[in-house]
Amino acid sequence: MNILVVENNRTKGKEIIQVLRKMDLNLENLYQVHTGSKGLEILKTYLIDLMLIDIDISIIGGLEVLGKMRTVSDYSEVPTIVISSRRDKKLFNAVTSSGLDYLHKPFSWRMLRQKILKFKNGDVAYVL
Amino acid sequence: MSYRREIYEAAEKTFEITCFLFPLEEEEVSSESQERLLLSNMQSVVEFSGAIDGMVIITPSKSLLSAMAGNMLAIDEPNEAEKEEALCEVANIISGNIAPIFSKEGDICYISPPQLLESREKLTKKIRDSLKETVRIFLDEGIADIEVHYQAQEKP
Repeated sequence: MNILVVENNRTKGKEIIQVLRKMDLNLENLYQVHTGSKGLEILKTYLIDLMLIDIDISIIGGLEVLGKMRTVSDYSEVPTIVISSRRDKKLFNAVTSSGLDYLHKPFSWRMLRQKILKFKNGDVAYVL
Repeated sequence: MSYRREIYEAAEKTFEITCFLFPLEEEEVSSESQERLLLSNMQSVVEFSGAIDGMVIITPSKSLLSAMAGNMLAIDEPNEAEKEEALCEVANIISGNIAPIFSKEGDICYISPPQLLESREKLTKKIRDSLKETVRIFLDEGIADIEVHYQAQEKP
């Protein structure tokens, strides 16, 4: 399984990577970037099975990355878990109605693992 | 109307889940070590806007700041950059969770990226006419002050 983590906070990004490595997910490649534009580059270059993206990232915002993904067929169907601290029902509805999953900060590692396993086991069909 | 309970609960949950830091009674922290009460010079600010404009300022004690980054990364001696990022991450999460409580519909649409607060003077103008709530949370590795400044009335 190839996972891309787009998280602008370097400490949080490192922490997520450390924990993912311990989760027994049969990971092949784990990519970590801090900006939306770098995230798009990784999507263009590698086959990604799942993307975790903090939508509060700077430079290119997370929502903008998701918008650009829709326009490129090669990676428009990459399963995505959107992460945000925003307790905003409108945002939640917008994300989930687009077929993406949403993880609200602060989240437990158990919750993150459950969501990843749903994708890994193919329990969720995603179409952007 | 006071929002202290909501602010405390958001902070408590954030520190517990994100940094594995647990709430204590004030006496427990004070008796453990006075050093744990010394506030750091490092502060993070997050502005929010939408129905109501405001900002959240987080000031941890020196010992807490180190523990936040250390626990997140499972290391003993985090460097300054790791501490800064840990503080900003915690500020971002607390702000995202408490900003909506200041408007009737929970309709806060934008949370700015967290920043380190370099000069309080720059904020003076912005917070001059705002209301303020301050909450201190006592944790097993130190304390944190959470200040929330917000406008008295929602925008039309």
